[in-house]
Amino acid sequence: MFLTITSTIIARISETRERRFTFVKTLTASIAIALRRISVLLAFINTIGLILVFFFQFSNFLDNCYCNASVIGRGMDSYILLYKQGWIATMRNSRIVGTVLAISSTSIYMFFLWLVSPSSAESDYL
Amino acid sequence: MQSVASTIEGTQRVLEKLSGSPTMLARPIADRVRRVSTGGISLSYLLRGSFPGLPSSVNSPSALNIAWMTSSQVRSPSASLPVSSLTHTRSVYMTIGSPALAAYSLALTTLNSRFVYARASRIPHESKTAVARALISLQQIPLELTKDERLLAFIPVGDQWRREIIDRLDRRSTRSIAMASSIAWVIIAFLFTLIDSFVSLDSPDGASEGLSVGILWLWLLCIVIGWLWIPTFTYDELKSALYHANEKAADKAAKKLRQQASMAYNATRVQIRNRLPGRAPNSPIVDPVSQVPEENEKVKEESFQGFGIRAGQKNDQKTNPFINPAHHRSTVSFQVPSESQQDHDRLSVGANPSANQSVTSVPHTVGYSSHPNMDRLLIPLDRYDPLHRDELRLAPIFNYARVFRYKALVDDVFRALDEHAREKEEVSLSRSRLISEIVPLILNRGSGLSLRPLSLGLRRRLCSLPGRSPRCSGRRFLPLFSSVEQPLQPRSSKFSPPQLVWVAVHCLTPSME
Repeated sequence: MFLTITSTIIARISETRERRFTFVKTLTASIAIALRRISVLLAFINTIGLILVFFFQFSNFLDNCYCNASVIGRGMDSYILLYKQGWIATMRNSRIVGTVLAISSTSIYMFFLWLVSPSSAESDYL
Repeated sequence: MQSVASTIEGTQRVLEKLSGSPTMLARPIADRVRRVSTGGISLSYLLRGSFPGLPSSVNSPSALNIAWMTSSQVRSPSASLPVSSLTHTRSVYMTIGSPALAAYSLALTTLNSRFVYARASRIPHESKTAVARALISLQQIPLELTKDERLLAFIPVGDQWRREIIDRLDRRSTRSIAMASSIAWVIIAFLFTLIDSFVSLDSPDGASEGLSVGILWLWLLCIVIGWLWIPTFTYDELKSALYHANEKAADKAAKKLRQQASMAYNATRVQIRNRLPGRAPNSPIVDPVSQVPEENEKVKEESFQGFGIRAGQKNDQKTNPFINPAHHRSTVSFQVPSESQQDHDRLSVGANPSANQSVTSVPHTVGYSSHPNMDRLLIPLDRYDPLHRDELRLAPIFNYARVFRYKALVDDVFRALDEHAREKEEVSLSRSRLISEIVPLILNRGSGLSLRPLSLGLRRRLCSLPGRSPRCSGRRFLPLFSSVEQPLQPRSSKFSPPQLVWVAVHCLTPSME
């Protein structure tokens, strides 16, 4: 996202310069194009990865010892969680916190949209 | 036992929050909800029945349901994520690959419409609301405003233009009951997943995967609702609306130019040669006004030689249908003395024959224009260089790339409206008005006066003078929010004080006569 936004800004700079600044124009244009292509590539990889992970998860492929111990993330310190009686409360709390965070962030975004969008009353007032 | 009890407790607490009812009531509700959530959705029920070994994430209904919703939203053309066809896969993976970009574009679109209303509120013009609404609906196309001032003057006049756009675009309402119900269904399924994950907290598998997948796709719900909120259109709708509106505007402009031409014709009695492809170049003289409007099939070219200075040499190679047979369509191309030429001729008294060079072509049909930027008010951008590639993609997700151009467009349109409103006030530029506007400018400013505060008509006259400043041609660095490359000429014109005095004197002479 930041790559694309930077790309648009630089592209705009490139196209608003006058024709005689050839060096600046070509330089900014090439930077903008490169940034845009990198961002598109990243988005594409991200999408493919996301879909693949879903496939693996739904097909129970990720439910093995290697993944459950999260070796990639933890390296040598990886461990496998065994259920213990007292941990359920912690799990529940963290789950509640995560859910609340997710829902509140989305609802904050929706509230922002609602706040910002011009109402019909505003257009009538003009 | 302890864990089961604590789970039930937790569930009750959650249900209490959800339903707002006390704990005693919540227990039967919990059972019912569980039954509904597992059995209500046939797909998950089937899966659970037939493949008992599957992980619980599959069995949790809303993960599947949200995923299904996603795919259907993304794929189907009539759905709310505005992807018009399967060829627009790029917008699909841009959306899924970077949700922040999609959210940013959505917010930007909303903020743009707010910006348009705010910009419109500063203008004392009666039709600004309609123009604002038309501009808001046109956010999905990369557009440029025409550089031709004569056409630009038709924005406020073109009632039909706005009506065309607004009517055509208002006809389609994106908010339907089916959409609302499907969104409500997704929300309900998400709630079921939530409850299910808390209820089955103690099971060995845990339902955390279903919950995590559901939460992962939650952003999509926001964005879908947001795009439903803001009306979006397919490219064909926008294009047809623009096309018809432009046709109307071009017709009006042609009518106006015809009037000007006939006025000049009556005034100066110059030669008008009507050339038809079958005829010899020196065909009998025909009055342009009587013949122009109805004959669209004939290839017809009228060259109006301004003020009888020279005949038959004003058309450049591109516009002359006799030189370039590819342009043998029904076009009417005028050579009309524009205001600048009139000024030239008045001031330089016919001494400079090369002064009237401007050719305005007003096409009556599609597909032809010698100067593609001259005949339309709003021009869809079609530069296929890699710099503008994202701007040219028409899915609303790529609104982020159009923001600068769109703001410049809005600014230009409303500036034209503003100038039109001001021009209306002073239909005739009186001498006292000239003095009262120019003299304070000379007195108050140093070198490099900006002509911004002057009205458009006055600026046009000043800039069309022969001895104008070379700085009239443009600014060195354009700010981000200005139109691309060449702004409308008079807007950026600057004069030094002595030049301005000289110009003012010359400007005053015709009005004194």
